[in-house]
Amino acid sequence: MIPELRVENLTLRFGGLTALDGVSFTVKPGALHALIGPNGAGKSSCFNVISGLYRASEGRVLLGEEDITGLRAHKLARLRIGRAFQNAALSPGSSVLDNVMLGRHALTSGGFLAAGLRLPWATRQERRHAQRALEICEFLGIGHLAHTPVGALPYGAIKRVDIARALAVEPVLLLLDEPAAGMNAGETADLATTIEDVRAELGISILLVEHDMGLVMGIADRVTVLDFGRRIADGTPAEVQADPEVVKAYLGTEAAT
Amino acid sequence: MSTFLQLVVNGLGKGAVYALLALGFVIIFKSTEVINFAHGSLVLFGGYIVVVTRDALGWAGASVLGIVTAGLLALVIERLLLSRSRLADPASLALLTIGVDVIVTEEIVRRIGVSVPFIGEAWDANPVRIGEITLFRTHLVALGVAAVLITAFYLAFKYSNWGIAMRAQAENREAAALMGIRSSRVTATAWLVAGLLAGVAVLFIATQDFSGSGLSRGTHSIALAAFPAAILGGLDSTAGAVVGGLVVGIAEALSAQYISFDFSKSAVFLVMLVVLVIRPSGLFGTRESTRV
Amino acid sequence: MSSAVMDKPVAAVTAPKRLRWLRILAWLVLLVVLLALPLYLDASWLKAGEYAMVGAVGAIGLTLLVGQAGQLSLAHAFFLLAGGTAYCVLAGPTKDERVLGFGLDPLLSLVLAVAFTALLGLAFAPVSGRLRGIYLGVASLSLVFLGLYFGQSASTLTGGTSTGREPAAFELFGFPFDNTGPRIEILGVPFRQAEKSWYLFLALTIIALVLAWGAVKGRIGRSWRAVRDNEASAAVMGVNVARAKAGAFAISSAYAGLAGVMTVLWYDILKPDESEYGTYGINVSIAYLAMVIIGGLGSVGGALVGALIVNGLPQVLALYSTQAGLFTQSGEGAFTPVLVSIFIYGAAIILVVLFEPGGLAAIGRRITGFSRKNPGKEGPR
Repeated sequence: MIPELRVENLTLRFGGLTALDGVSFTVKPGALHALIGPNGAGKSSCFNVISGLYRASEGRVLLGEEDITGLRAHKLARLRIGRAFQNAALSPGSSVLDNVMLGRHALTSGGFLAAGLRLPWATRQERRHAQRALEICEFLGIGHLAHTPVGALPYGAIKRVDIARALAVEPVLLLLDEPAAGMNAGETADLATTIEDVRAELGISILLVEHDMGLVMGIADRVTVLDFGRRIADGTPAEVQADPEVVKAYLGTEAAT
Repeated sequence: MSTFLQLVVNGLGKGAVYALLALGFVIIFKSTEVINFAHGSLVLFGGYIVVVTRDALGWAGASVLGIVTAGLLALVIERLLLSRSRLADPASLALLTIGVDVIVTEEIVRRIGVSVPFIGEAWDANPVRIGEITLFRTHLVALGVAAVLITAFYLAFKYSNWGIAMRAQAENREAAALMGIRSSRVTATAWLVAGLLAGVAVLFIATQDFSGSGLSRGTHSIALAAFPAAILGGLDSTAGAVVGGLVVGIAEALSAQYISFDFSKSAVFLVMLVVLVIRPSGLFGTRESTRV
Repeated sequence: MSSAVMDKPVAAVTAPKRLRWLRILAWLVLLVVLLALPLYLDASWLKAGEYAMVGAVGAIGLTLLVGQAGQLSLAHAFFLLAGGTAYCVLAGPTKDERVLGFGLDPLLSLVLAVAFTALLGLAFAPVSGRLRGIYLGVASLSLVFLGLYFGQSASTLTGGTSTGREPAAFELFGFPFDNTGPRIEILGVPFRQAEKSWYLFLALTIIALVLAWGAVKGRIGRSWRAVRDNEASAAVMGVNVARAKAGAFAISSAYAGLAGVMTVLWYDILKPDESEYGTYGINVSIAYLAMVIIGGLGSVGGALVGALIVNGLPQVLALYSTQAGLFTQSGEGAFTPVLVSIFIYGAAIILVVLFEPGGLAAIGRRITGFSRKNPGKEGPR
């Protein structure tokens, strides 16, 4: 059962700066929803609030029936929200598999003694989840790199590891923070296919922050546009592209007229 | 009341010396983000040179030589070791300074042996009486010298090319480099200045008034107070370093009197702990924020 | 705290199968040798090896905290003191007028002492949670000073700074580990205190080692590394960062507590002397940090080698000095074994940071071709 994500009237203030101002949008279950806007529009801030890293000044975030506003970040993995990061915050010294296994943290248990004493249940758990992590890696085309240290990988592969890690959470909602950043056209096309495959295979909701318009317009079901912390448009890609407010935000007043 | 006042003033005198140490420490941190664990060894080194050349050059000459060589040692550490490191990543370099500190300190302690030589002051060692208060002359001299040096430093920091360059580099290293600021020069000068300040500090530390003992392993221990002083002031704040030094000096003096002498060293760290729990970046430090 | 010194593969890159069997075989051979040594070495050499084992136990704990979890701590000496004191108090004689004792069974006292030190480590959590990087390191220094002050004043517990107190001899279900008890001979070699302690310390070290290895490979090690490398992403992945840090401190303190018990058994006395250069002073915290840096931050095997160098070397040098006539000068300006060892490990720290931040562990990996998957790359940052 995939729940819907509802962001209601979200406001985020840092001292004198208002990063988000009454932002509202809804990610329907199983939808691929994009959050776009010029630099500094508040997209990453919005993500950070949803992920529990920032505390909203006003407004709510609801996952299905549950109000998840203000929940601390580590609780959200248990609610099966997975997130990939803008700067792919992985452990470069550890292998791909080890990094992806971090995503299983909320699905597993066991502390120092369980691991240290190699209690049978802990070892079995490790094996089971490592198997699943490997499956996810293979689905994303990085299965053959499972035992390679992440730091030795090319950028494109690293981004896939990040996505794999987010998928390891077995999310109902996947947050992708600028997944195409730093990629060329070919890589972006590959990424688009991968994201669509994820959606097709798992049927989960995906919320995407992105700058690359080609990617967004090509795969998104719905697009929300932010500018200076405010929502200025929300609709299908076609609707948003035609919206004069959006054009103005990106290209300036002259282009809109 | 007069005891309290006496303690505060004497504490300020000690604090002035700690301020010099903390200031040097913070200058290094601001320019390179490196925690210089070898600061105590700079102090010991300067003191050692003074002790060894005192008979030949007299107090004045020996002191100047001590100050200069302490500065040079700092410079050598920076040029020879820190800048050569392929990594230039601050945490590793801090660990490197631990290695340096260990070697320099142990070697100097070995040379000093069991004799605990006093540096000997150039001023009359008799205490000064103002009304009911007795003040140590060393502490007064220290206050005066520190005031002059800190003021000079502030003027340099604010108005001189070096000061501006250093502040720019501390703010944003890459941008500063793009603006033409020679980072290596700024860093080297920062270490040199820190060493010089350490050399001045030891002149006061290894005296009867200040520590009751001459140059010894204990001197390194006293110099360790630079850490809590700099930290509680906020590692990237030069003003914080000075305030931190004074706070540490007063805390030490008060706790030595009202609790016990043994506790005074711990008292300093306790004060630092309390400050850190309330303000994790120190009193004047800038709060760290990580970009997600 | 993340740095080049800390970014290296740690037990997460699997070696080819052949190499794994070789490693296991090597460890087994080492174990057999260690078990057989008391039959061939005399007491003074065994004592030297035991001191290295004390260092190993402490260093393993510290490498988990600093290398795996990325929390800098200079408080290790404090937890050593706490562990040693707790053991002496718990196992000590009940009727002594000078010092407090509960007369508990030594094995129980050891376990309780370790648990107590873990709790102390946990108690530091509110501080460790709020501070980062070097601020945490210097804050942890406070514990050493405060601990020694407390230890020196609480003479009913520690025996005071000038006299100290003797630890109760260790016993395992009635079998004493000192020179009392029935006379034992194995293969013609009399088994007295030195031989018995050797096996005791070896057993403790092996337990420490095995637990740590498992932890590094398991879920908890992963969560530590995540906290070390990026707290925000660790949190988003479900790791309770505050709890992970607190747990790392507790476990590291437990290891230090165990090392502390071993310390008092080794010295056969507990004496909280100086804070700058004593048995429980900052110099000891720095020595343990040196072991961990030299061995490679986060590497459990590296911690062992680091301990061998930092703790074992001075002991071995001292033994050789009596035999080979080195270090004969004494008194002022003398180059004692301790001093020379300090120079060596001070230099080793500098060399490691300058040339091989992954420490001996990285050098070892390079030699065994661990980075086989990526020829030419010496290891990630």
